[in-house]
Amino acid sequence: MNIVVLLRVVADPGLAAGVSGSTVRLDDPSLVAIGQALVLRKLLPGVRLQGIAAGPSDWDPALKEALALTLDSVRRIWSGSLATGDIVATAHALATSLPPDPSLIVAGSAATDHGSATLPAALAEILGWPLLAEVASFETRDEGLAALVRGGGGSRRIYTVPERAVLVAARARAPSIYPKVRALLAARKSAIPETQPATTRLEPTGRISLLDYGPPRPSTRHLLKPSAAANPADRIRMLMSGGMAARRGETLDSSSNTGASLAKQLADILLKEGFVR
Amino acid sequence: MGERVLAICEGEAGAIDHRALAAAALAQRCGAESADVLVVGAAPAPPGRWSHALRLDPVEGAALTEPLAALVACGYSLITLGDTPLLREVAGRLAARLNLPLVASVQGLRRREGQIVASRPAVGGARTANFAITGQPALLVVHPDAADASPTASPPAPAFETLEGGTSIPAFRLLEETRLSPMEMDVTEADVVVAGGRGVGGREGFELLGELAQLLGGSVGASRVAVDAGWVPYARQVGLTGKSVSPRLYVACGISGAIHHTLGMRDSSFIVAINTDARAPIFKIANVSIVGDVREVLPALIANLKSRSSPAERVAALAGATQ
Repeated sequence: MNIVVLLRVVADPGLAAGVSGSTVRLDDPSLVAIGQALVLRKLLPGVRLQGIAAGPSDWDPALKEALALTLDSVRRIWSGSLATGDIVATAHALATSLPPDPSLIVAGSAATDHGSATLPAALAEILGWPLLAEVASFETRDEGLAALVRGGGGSRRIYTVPERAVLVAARARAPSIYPKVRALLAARKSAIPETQPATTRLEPTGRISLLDYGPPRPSTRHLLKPSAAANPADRIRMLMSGGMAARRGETLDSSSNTGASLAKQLADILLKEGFVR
Repeated sequence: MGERVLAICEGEAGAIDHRALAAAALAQRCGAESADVLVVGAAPAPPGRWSHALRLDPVEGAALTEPLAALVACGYSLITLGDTPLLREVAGRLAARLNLPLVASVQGLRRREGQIVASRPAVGGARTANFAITGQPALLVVHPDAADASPTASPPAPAFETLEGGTSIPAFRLLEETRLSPMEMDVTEADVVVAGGRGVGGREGFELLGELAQLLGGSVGASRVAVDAGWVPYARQVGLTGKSVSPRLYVACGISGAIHHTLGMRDSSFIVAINTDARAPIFKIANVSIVGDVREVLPALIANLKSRSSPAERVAALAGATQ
């Protein structure tokens, strides 16, 4: 059984002073995907884990780390036409470069596709496979392999996993998995093979082209911006409230209401706003 | 832009998923001649001036692709999608099936020299990458922070037209479904957070908060004071030194509203604050302010909510509370 793990590498200037001398590393979603693949290898004996990434040769030091984390092999595909990050083109390139007879494809929540989290779905569509997102863990049951899926509002669902499927890991902190020193040294000596995607459907230039890079978009969520029209005291209050615009609404006071009366009024409001069914 | 755009949003339980609101807002503001909205699930149309409102029952992403592929071919130049797991899958599948240009995590949209230019974060957020999109229709998965999605006065949405859904052949068989109890559920994934501070008075007070959270289907959060006092674990702390939450409903019980706390919960859609101090800063940011003692108001509120729920729901709530 071949399980393919989609990998992505990100630049991390903070690594420059490290022992490896490399400034790239596997991103956290890829590490989560590797962690889940390692769990699958424990649950399903005889599984072969194969990493694949669509990126330039600069990624190799980080991909060797994936090899050191005991993936059986890691390959990299690259073509200049993939540089724009066209998701469909990248998905076609990956689909034609998969190892023979893959069973499951495990991806991180933002693997291989510039953080968009849409590439696994495009890949699933090209392969005609189903996709299961938000996978948190795996277990084996009488029915076979099962995946625990994290839903909204604290729901947890357990699904059977078919023989062929794309599984997208839920967002999570990178697992604490570290390569053994011997594996790391061996991986550093090995080469990451690069292959040209065997597809002709790599023409992103006609649809999407990278114009330029600009400064990062300011995150207004973290700016404290008091209203210019407010008086100084109100501006200070706005700053003290974390920049939230005052949304003072209805006030219910216990001086003129009993606890039960307050509770009834609040319950009515919650019902009206749709929080109570 | 003189074109038609389609916003695809997801919702359930009578509300649009907050992550999908920005897709609707961006569709409204991109300058198109007309904008249509498609709501996947049982929710009203998001705020905006919509020409047509369409509805589709939620099924798995692969089954949604079929009817959406037919809809996309109806002359839209841009299709914005909310950043939810289901709509991300739909976007990827549609782009691959119809060979459409797709940009995800879109934070901005403008027109430059006759081209649509979409921007999204790059290099880990240190830069913004600007992409020119020439193929049409283009699919844009819109980042939740891309556009201010706060409700604005808008005309009533047209009546929903229901689309025929695709054939649903679930490839994954559901074996089991559970819902985490309030003290198990992470505060960051809860739609409702009932949080307590010094005014809750102790661990017993947090049991009341847990009971209310159970009734509202939410999780229990806490201010730093309550965590430092050992009443609840650190994992439940909301604020600058804890977690940031953005639930639909945030009930602040006995929390004064210091900036360290409000920075972690200010993105909540609806805030209810209960505090004995009428001058507590939390009241300035609350939609509903209750000047009263948490230990009096909460038991009465819990009793009131229990009396309103159906017998079956009451049994389920009790079963959950005793787990």
